[in-house]
Amino acid sequence: MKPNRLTIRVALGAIVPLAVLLVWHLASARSVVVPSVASVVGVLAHPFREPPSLDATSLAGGALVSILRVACGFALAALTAIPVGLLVGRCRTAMHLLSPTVAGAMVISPVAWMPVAIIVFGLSSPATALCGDEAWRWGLLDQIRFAIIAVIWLGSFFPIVLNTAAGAAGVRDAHIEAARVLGASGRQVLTKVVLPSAAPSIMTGLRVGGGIAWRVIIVAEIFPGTRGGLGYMITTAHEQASYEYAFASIIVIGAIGLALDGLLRLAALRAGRWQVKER
Amino acid sequence: MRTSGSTHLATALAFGAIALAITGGCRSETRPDASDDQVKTIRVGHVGHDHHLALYVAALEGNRFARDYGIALREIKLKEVYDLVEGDTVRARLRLIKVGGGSRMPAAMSRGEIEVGLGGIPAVVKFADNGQPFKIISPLQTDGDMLVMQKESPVTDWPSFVAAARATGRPLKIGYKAPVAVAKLVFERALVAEGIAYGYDASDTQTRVVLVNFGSEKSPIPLMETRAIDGFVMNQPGVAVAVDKGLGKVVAQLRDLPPKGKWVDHPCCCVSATEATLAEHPEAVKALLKVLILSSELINADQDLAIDCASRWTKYSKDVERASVPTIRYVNEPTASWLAGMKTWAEMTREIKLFKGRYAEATPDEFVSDMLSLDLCRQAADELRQKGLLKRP
Repeated sequence: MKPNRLTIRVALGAIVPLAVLLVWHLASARSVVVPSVASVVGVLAHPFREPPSLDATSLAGGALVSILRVACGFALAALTAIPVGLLVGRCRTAMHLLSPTVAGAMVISPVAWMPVAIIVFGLSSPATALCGDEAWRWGLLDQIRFAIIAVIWLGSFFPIVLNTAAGAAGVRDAHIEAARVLGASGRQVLTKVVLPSAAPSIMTGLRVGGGIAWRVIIVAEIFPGTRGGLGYMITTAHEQASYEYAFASIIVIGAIGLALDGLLRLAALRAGRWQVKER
Repeated sequence: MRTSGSTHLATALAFGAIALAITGGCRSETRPDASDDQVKTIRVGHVGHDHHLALYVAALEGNRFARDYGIALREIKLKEVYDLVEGDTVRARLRLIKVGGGSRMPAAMSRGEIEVGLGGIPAVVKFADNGQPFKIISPLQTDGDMLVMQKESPVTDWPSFVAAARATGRPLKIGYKAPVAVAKLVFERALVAEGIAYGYDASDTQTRVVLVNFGSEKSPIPLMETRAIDGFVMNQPGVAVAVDKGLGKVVAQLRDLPPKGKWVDHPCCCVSATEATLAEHPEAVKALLKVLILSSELINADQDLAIDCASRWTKYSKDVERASVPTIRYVNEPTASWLAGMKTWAEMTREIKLFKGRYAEATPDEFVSDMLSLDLCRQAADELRQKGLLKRP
């Protein structure tokens, strides 16, 4: 019986991960630093258990903190970048005004902004803004440090702006003119013509921005005063030579990143469905 | 594109759950009394390793301190928030913040994020040298810095290290964690005393010891395993971890390196504070120093308890802490030996032109008199002695 197409795809996709597992197993057998596959699986199997040999929260707790930080930074980036992108794409003056800045800032790694972010925001969080010295009472809210959010925002903002601008600039003039002829107001043109036309590009920008946000969070979580998150766990595991937690965190980061990308890809497909119909 | 009602509902529920988690749902269970609002909060920065054990023992053994000494840290939230209680008076609420090692502690203090900081002396002085209004208000510990070599290395002690460095062949690569780390500075001066040429460029044929920076607060373990370095100089507990992993062996305590006797009791970590905090909250700072002095006494008297506390707080294994804690000398009083160590350190930093600002030309006496503010510490020790709580004279 011939294997079906799905089986072949799954088998092909599994080759590289299996090879990595084999190399990892061989490396751990010769090393006191590289943890065994079993020890990492042991950590992954108990995501809610506080690490006995690491000054950190549980793996699940760390993942939740990281996800919340990314969600806040990314949502803020989307909310600010899409209007700016639309403005740049549809208004020539705005384009001339902002394009050089956006293009210049785009090439700076968000991680490079870390010292600036910490000088500007320090250890402040929504909890410190609301409760000052009593911020510690607010658990997770105190973990969402503005400096970390700022770095995530910087990482996501520019790709979303650029893609949104490209999408907005590519809206066919004929569509806009047709809408106007039919009596559409400026707001209606924006919501019924420009936004739907630019949606596929916006979704591409969100997907790129989301990927960057998730990558940046790992580095951003080494900020002083941080005691949670997957990035913190990796750094602490390295310092304390408990590498099984670093490996487990990396696997969780990969899994969440994959899920995030899948969600954004689905959203992009839905947003771009009209294009298929148009063809 | 039309969105179904179920999608809207799912989105609303997801956002609702996140909002609940961020706000009410994750609010701490702790509910201190209303009178807490009147107490001044002092934010105390620390690194999280066993050099700062005096703080951690006091935090973990609050009940014992309250019972035996009448001054204690009362836990509000483990590892994060404590009330500093003296008798029936709450002197301050302490918020403990793990700020990280090296320059991160004084950097946080310069940004106003902490008022009191536990950390390495060189970084604190570096910031003060640049004009920051910081004072060293108490010692914290001395010693605990070591030279570790690969386990299979023929080097077994300092004389054999010197012989290996002088022998022909490739230079020895020795790792260090930060350019101004105490361990690195002491090691460099010992190499100078032995007449061994050192540098940072492995291609320099004159160099017998190549120094390799493995990054502040990061572990030398991977470099040891891949044999990228022959050994390293570092403070505890990094040393104990390398030995515990079977990657290295201690060949010398840096306190024993030449010039003979110069590095005994060499200062490492200290307690520092901003001048504003010292002026505005002297009683609270003095109470904190009392707790730290008593804690150091307890550590030196009961090593098993100290090791247990170190392991509970830092989460290093007990084996690691058993190897680490006894090699560190915990001292929270400015003893003559510690002051002499500070002057030696100041002299060395001037020789190597470490500082470029206000301490660039300062003599050791000038440095000590300007950088150190030990009155509160001495008062704290005197008051404890008057109450018979300190055994040492």
